Amino acid sequence: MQLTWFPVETCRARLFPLAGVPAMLLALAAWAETNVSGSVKDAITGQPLAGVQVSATRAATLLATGITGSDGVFQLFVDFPIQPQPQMLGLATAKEGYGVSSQQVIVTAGRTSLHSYRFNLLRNEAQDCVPTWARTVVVGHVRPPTAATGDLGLSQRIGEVLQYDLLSEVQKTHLPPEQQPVVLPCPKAQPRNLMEHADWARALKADAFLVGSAEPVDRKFRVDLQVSSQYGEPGLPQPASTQPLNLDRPESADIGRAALTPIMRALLKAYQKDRRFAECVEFAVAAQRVLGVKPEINKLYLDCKAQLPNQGLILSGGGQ
Amino acid sequence: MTARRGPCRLPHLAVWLLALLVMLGGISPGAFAGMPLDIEKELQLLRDGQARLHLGGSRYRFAVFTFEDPDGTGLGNALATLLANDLLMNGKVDSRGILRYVGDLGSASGERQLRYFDKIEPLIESQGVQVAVWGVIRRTESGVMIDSYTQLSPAAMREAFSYTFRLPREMERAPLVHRIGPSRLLTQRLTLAAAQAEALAGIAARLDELRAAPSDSAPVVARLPLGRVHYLLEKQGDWARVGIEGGGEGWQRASGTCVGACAPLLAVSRFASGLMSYDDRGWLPERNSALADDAKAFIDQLQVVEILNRASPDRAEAEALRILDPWCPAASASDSEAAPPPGGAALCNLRALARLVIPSREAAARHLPLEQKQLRAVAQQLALASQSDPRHVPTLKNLATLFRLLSDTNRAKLAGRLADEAAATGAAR
Repeated sequence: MQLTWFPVETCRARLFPLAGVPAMLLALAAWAETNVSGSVKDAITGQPLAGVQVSATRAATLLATGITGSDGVFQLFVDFPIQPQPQMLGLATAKEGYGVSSQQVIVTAGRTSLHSYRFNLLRNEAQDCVPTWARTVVVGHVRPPTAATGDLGLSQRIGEVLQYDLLSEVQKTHLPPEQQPVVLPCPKAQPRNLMEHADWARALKADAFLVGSAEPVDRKFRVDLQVSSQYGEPGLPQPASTQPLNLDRPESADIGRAALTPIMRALLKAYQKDRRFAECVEFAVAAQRVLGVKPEINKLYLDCKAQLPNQGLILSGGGQ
Repeated sequence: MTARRGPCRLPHLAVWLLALLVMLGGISPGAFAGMPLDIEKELQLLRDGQARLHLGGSRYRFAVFTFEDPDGTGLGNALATLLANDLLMNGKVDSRGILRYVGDLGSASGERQLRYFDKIEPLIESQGVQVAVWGVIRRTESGVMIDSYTQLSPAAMREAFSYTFRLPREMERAPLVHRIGPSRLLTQRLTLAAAQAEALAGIAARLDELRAAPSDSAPVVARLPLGRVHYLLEKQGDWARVGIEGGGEGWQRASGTCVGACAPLLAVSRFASGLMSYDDRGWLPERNSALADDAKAFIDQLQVVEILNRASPDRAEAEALRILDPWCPAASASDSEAAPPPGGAALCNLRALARLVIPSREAAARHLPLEQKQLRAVAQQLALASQSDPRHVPTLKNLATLFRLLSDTNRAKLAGRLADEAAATGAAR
């Protein structure tokens, strides 16, 4: 972008007639203290976050700031002109260890459009794991085997293998790239307990969220994966295990067909939830070609088929 | 997938761009320059509107991509070189050019994050390439597993692998359409022991040697230089004389090099070549047992089309159904437990048409329309097939036609709308 500087006088001369109008209107308007309140939670645990700084700004001018209490609630009083037409106000959060989050507030006649503004803050380690794609599989932390020296990059490695396993068959159906699953390795995503897996999946909007650990088996190791989903049923994540792998050759890590089943099932549920029934059917067909006919995949396949508009093409009486 | 490559064992071959032109009998090559084609650079040129055509003189155009090698086996270039060389030496079409692409297909490219098939498609479309060959090598506990893929360009599918037949004049000569599928195929899944994989690398490494005479004992007089165009001058038995643009020539084995564990791999290049010789001369590709189901299903459809096009209709329908029934049994469309056939609804679409082609000819000879009952039965079969492949455009178009002829306006409109929507999403085949 090229910037052009005007002498101050020129600038004033040009801007004065226009800038003066809203300034005069503002001067005529009545001012009132507008109450902006809400709450802040940890996006993953859902627990209220204390000590979060919440700021209200308008046109880059800081109007008010406040700190959340132990219940995660904040309340700001902002001096604002009372006008019949909607005015915009920016709200932003700041807390160490968490990413910044912001929202727009609409104020009309001194009142905010919402009674309460809610923020769900993502921890810094999850910031790079937020998908920008419609269908996403996030591969979280995969703990290396105890005998291994170093990290082995198992999260990245499993992500790469998954990407190929998922796409090579799915792309044969010509599913548009925007509707194909993208695999996002996110080794820092490390739930503290099993109950937190689904919370991570929801916070990251992951259709499938994988976390695992490598366990020694004789002279090899096996990766035990836990699969959760933002659309998953309540309860514990689905377990999936790889075949025993050679510790001396971590690059040959392959999660195996059996471990793909809960991942593909989670993706199918996502297509179904989004009412993308044609994509759901096409993905299910690809899954069946990779995995064979699996009851848990077949059920979703039939459910999605039943919702297709193509059902209307079937003749009553079996075409006789 | 981001490729983690091992040490490059064949740097000189890695950047081969084979640019080949073989005119009648393999004698008069055109003179044109080649350069290594980097996938990402070519895609960027395409996005910038600056792409230019490589090897413009060849009628049949192949693209061979360095095989994806995420496990670092070091075989990515060796496999592509073996296949590209076989297409040059033993291709069945007279005028052929082979573009050699290097780079990573597994990493996301551009705003749409294209990978694999989706990444190849714009490249081959822009170059007028009909057939692309690529693959992925994975380590296994005891060796390697090689997945080889064939990808046909949309233009090739339209021009060489689409079929239309018309119903009798009494039925307005309404067209019914078929497109062979799939256009993106797993051609072969080959498992090799570690020692066999090593042997492949050794064979590929010797493919740049040109000898003074057609003999293994003749001295090496030249090596195929990095990224230089070379072409076939003549063939004598198992040997071929190869010329290098800018000077230099020599003899190279045209066959008998890729033997033993290497030999099944050639089914991939022979299949790719066979697809173009089908277009050129109507020769069916060999249905090799080393091919995967996708490729076999494709060849079977070509065979059925040939049968249905035969002048003599005797037993044509029965022969066609005998070939298609294993892929699409009469009851399969409604059988929820069956895994869908390769190519989705394509095989069932062809099966449905096979039931109409011969009766339609017979009806046309008697100046009669087909019986409504026949049309209804076929429409029902197609409607069921479209449940497991809901955006298969030829199936939907045929349904629109059949329902219109059956005066079933609502279903005709629905099928037409679904066909248009599928075509608009880009998911169409």
